[in-house]
Amino acid sequence: MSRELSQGLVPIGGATAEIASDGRLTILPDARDGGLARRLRQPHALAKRLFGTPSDAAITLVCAALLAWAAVPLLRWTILDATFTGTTRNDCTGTGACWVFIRARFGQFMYGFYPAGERWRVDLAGVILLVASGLIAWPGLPRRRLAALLALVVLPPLGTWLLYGGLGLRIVETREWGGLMLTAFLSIYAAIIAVPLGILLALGRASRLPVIRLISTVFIEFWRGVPIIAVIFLASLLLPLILPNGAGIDRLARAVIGLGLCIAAYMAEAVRGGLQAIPPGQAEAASALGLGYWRTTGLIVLPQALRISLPALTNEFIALVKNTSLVLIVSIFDLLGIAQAALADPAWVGKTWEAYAFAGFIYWLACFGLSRWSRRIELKAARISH
Amino acid sequence: MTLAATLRDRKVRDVLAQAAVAIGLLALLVYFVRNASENMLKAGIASGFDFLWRQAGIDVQFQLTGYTSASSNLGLLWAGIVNTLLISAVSIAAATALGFAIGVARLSRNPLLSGIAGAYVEFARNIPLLFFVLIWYFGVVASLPAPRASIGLFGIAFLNNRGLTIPLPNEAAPFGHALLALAAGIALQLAVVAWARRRQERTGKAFPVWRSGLLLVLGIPALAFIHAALATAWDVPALRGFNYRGGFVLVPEFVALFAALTTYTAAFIAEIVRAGILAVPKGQIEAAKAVGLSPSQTLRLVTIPQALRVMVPPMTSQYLNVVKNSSFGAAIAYPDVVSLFMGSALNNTGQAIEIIAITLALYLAISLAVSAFMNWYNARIALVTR
Amino acid sequence: MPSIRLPLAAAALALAATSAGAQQLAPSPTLDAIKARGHLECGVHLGLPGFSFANDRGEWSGIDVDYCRALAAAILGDATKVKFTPTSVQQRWPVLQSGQVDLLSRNTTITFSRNATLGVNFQGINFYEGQTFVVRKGTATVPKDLDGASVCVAAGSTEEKNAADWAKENGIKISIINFQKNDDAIAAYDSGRCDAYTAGIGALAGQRIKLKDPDNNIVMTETISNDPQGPTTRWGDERYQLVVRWVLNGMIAAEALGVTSKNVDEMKAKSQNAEVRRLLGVEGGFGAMMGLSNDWMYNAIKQVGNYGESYERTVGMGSPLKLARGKNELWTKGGLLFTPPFQ
Repeated sequence: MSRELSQGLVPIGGATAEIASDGRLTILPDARDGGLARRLRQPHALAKRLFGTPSDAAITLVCAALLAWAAVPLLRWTILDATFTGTTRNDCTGTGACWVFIRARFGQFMYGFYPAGERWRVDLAGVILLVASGLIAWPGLPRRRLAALLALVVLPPLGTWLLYGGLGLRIVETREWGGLMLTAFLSIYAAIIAVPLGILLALGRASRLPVIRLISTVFIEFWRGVPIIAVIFLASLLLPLILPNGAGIDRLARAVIGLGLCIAAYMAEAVRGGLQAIPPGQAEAASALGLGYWRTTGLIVLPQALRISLPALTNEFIALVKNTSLVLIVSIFDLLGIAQAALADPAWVGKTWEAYAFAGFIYWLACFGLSRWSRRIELKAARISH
Repeated sequence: MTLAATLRDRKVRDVLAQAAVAIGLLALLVYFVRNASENMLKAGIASGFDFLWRQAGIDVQFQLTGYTSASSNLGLLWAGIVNTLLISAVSIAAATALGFAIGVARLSRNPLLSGIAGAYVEFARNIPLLFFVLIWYFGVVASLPAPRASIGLFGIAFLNNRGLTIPLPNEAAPFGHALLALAAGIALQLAVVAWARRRQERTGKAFPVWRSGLLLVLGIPALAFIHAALATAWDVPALRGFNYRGGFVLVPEFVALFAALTTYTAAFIAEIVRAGILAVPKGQIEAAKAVGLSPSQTLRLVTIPQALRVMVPPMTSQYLNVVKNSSFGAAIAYPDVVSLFMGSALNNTGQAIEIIAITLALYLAISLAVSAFMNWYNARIALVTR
Repeated sequence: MPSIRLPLAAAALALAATSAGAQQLAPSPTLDAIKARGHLECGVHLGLPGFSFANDRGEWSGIDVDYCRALAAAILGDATKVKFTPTSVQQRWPVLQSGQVDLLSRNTTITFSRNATLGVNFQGINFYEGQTFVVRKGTATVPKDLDGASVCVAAGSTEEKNAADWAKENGIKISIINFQKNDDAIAAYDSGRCDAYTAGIGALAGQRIKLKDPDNNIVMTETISNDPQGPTTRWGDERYQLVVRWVLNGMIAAEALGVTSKNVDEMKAKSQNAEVRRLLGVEGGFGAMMGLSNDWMYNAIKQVGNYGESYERTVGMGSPLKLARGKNELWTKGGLLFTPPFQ
């Protein structure tokens, strides 16, 4: 039983929580709890909460001390004592961070070794991605579902063409890719494999056909049971061996396939949570109207299930973004990998913290942003259902 | 029945569809295996499992199994398994404790405390674990002194950038006895608890089980351990040449991986704990107060059992994640299964397929064992809470 | 019997006719693939200054890189037609075995068990390496001083095994900490985790400059092993192996014969030395025997240089590594580099 409840939608009390494969759990905020902002608007209540009893006061003081102990040096290092301008490490005279390093290597952090003259293609792909996802997320868009489907069919090949080249564009091989663009590419294309496959697997696991159910379950449990580090090794070492011309498969493509297969298993569990939330009566009614399995599923069950599991799927996507950092063990230079490579440059030896802080901040920004977005959808869904 | 009618029959169609999928999958599998064996034959790569009994020939600094460089690759695998299980077990315990503390802090009335806890959770779970591992490792090692400037703890244990060196008893037998005493104490205490519960159900009289617990689980075993410690001679580490000799070294890789897994996982556990506690309806606590239970009794008898029921499933997946995530140790030379077997052994023997298969099977076995145990536990507490 | 001989003879005739009198060549899928794709795929080290190192624009340089460029010049006539795949210690064998690269030229030690069980062949020696240690100044001077020391090493390397063997043999106790990548091991040594980092003496010369304070660290001069290194190919495809082997021999022979990138045109036009003439394709038709153009070595030397030029530029006195030739000197000058004659 516990495996069934360990991921996806879990009822807690009257509310619901989502649990992603990495354990990220999202709880609907209690409507009565106004959040920090409202509390701050009521100074009396705030003072009472902070210093109401001696033990409250003690906790407050300890927390304040902790905050000062951690935050002050951090602030000094990152901003107050840091060096922002210059071109070489000799310009970094302060005791704080040497952000000059990041500035000097900024192009690499973003594009890896992508040729400077061709970087506009990466920028363009990024802009297209942002505009398209913004449009699709905008509720006012006419025929939104069709547009989303169209985007899913058209954009991935378009993106690959822009980044890789061919058909009039200069070919930029994947070994020249790196940095943030590589992290984004890995995450998005692995998700493009994982989401449809995950949906199929979730349907398979809920199927009434025992063989299909067994195959789906074994597939899902296999990938969920092994560490992603091993999956990446597996993809990079075994794929070339088990295919007749495996060596012909691009290195990056192998990582995308490995991550995609593995994340599909987690996505499947997220979708299954949504499937289980649909009352069986709906499918029965559709069936009574004479709809077959695929039409019942495609028109009635899946759209609802996917809407319910969207936040859970987003959480899986966040887990995926974080896991892409592991590709550096097979010498693919993603954001963290390029940061490490930059550290090996004798001209910038010892700037470990700057590199990690910068790369970590970008990851944090992306993952935090996504989690906020998923929470907003969830809140909206909760408001509709009440 | 005509053939067409037979084909329209749902049962027949189901069987045919399943057979088609099964055969297709089997064919794909056979295709992969044949390609692999052909490719390997062509490339002249040795295959088979003989390498397991061949000498590994490398040294491993941190091992608990008596492995030496003269041991076989199988011995290397075993050393790796023990290290993986060790780091997983201690990290799970510590992460649970820290996670509980953060989760409870997040629910505190004190806005400063809950704010810090919330900020920590949002910080930690939006950054890849690999950052935690690298930052802890380079942070821990960089901040500790060199052996010559070690921090001495009572002159018997020494902390430096080579790890924490602690004295080791020359004989293990007295400690074995003390461990037996501990096991016996726990067993006795469990019996007392069961008896006390039965008596309370029968007569309504409560028995102060914690007193017997103090004596049986802490008191007597503690005496046995003190006796063992005094009765044996100790191998006290001493600085000779480069490092401390003698005793047992807890290497920085272990400490860093432990700290990284703990601080990362705690953020996720904190949210699970928060969800669990929020899931207990307020009415229950008010009712407990009304029937005269003290706050500690309320917590112990009402809140925790109900919260646990919600928490166990997501905690299971979290614990499994810790086991899988312990493979991140490969990035900082912690000698776990992935690092020793998929790293060193794979490279020395070149037998990628065999080694990857063994490693994956191992993780699957561990995953299945943990989830079986948690299923059992879940079923138990579900019964108890009725 | 005649019934068999006849078609065979006919086939041979037809082949001879189509190849316009050229000698019949054994099939070489690798050479065909390289020519068809228009570039050589070379597996190199992730980043080892002097051997194979990419600068911040992604341009590769180093003695192992130079060899691949020479090979590309010999096969394709253009030293720039080579693409480099950086490989970690772990990845190198699968990457080579599965055909993702045409060869490894990455500071890899030639050993029996690798040759016997990994399905790889070593095609000669382009660098005689010897393992030693880098330590912080004043802590040790010779390897035997390291009793009790913690030593950082890359997992799965020959260094990992050498160090264990050497310590056992000499009754010395060292703690070995195995990292997945050389750079990780160096970073750990630099942060104080280890007393020493072990690798080849040439590799260490390059890696020392990656340390925070290179001047405070010394590379020991006494070595604990012999690690000959050179280009590595898969089993099979003898004709391709022939090319890999003889391009290396050709670079060494060129140095011995005094042919450099600067005087190669003059030598080709004027030299009366028969071996030089054969090497540069003026006579003998050696290139054609392998299915290459006859100026295969001319291209390699013209575009990359002879072994000595490459050595000086990448690891020798003309480089930051400043390694003396030592064992990597020609056999005529007291070194170990030797090449069979071009006859």
